[in-house]
Amino acid sequence: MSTENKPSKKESLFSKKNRKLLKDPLGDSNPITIQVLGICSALAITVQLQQAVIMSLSVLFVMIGGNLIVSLLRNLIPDRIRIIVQLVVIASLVIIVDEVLKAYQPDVSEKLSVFVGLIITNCIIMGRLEAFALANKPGPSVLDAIGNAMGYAWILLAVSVVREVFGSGAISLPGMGQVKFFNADSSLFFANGGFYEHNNLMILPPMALVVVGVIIWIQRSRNEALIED
Amino acid sequence: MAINKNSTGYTFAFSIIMVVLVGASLATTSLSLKEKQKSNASEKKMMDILGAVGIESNRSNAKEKFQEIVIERISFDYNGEHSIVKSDDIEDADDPFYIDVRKNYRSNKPTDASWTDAKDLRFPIYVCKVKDPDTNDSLILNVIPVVGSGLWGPIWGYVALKDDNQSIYGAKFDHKTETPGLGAEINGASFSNSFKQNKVLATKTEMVSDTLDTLTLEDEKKTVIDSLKTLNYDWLFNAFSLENYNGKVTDKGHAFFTIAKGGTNTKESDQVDGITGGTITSKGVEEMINRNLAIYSRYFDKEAK
Repeated sequence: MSTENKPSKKESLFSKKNRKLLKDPLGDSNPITIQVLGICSALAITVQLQQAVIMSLSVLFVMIGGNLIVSLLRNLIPDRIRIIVQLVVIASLVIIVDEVLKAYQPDVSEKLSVFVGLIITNCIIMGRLEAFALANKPGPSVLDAIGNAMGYAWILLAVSVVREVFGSGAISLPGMGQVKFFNADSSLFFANGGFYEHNNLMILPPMALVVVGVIIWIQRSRNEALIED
Repeated sequence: MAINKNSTGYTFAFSIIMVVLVGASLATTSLSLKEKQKSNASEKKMMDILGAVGIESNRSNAKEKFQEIVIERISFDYNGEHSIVKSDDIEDADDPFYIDVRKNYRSNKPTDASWTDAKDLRFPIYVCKVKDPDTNDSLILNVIPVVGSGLWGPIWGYVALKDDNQSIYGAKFDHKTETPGLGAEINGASFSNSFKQNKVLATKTEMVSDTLDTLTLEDEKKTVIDSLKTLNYDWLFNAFSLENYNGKVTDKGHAFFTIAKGGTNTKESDQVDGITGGTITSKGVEEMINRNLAIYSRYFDKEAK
């Protein structure tokens, strides 16, 4: 077991308990695959990797900011209006993200369109504020935010890599644009006498659901404790 | 602490302080990023206009290329009169470049056939000079912005006409929230390329003769015939009026341009293929092109006179 079982006055930021806050959401309590929250945006914006990267960074920023602010204010927020306060905090952070994207990543911002705004209604964020930040100190709250945002992010990135590689034959990163693996007139393509064709189904939303489904399948077959009756 | 967190007074005080702080921080963010966002938007607009005349550009060279290609920016009013022509650098806020056609459309949605809601608006034209890729001659093109409604939200685009104002040189469309894979395809190359294949607009004479066939009242016929002489084209709008767009009246008159339904093999020169599964978006494209052309044709005809 742990080397220090005695309750110390000041808990280290990277104690076992806190490491768990970071690690759990990546695996066994992943917000998307286990709690099935925030699915809508995960399905909608995973057509390209660059969109998923920007979306993940936005959620990371909003979650850290939201958890930190709410945790700092936890003793000041009146109970009766705490949900409204959380919403205001999230909404203003999201608007800041949206404005910054419009200024510095206009192309990605256009593609993400309403989904940046919809981070406000992302259940993961509201859930963490209500369940964790309101009752915990700022340090652990930030770790919890990073953990959950990363748990959301890696699913998004995985799904978008699969969809972009097979759907568009390309990979894209913010600032770099989309890099295609073959030219459109490559002889590999069916139209030019080859054998290959991009899988258009991958671009369509249902395929995101299938890819997420496959991740859930793999995860549950590795850890049977996750399987519900 | 002596403060009762659950008292009404505390709740109010907390809310007021919170709202003031949040409001101030959002206002600061918005103000400090406004310039950057504005220049992004105008770069995008330049790229779209250049795209309509077949010139590829990106955010870094859009401004430079725009100044090179677009030789004049013109604006005129609803009746095709009082035109302003600018050809130097884009400086003042009343430059035709800054006419926000999308905003104008949003706040003056057509409620009648001849779009009288747009009476007070000004309409921009971007005159471009490009080299014809085939013959290497220089071409003068008039790029006109068009805005309309698709299935879910606004659609818009730029149509480049050759200097006869009758043949289409190129077009570029975009949308806000059309269905991916269906209506959203209007921003793809395959749709905009179909406008390039020697498509011409129907002439007014063709439109008049077809319109006359559909009219039964002698008065109406007389109005249409007179209108050709007086350059008053209110009747034109009837050919593709809102009613037509909404599907209530189908074969009334002859529009400048039509988007054909799928399966139509023989295409007139004033038709392009619609998008399968994107009928309402395609119809929206047709409606916006015709509604705007009716207004622009006033200006073109007055200029030609």
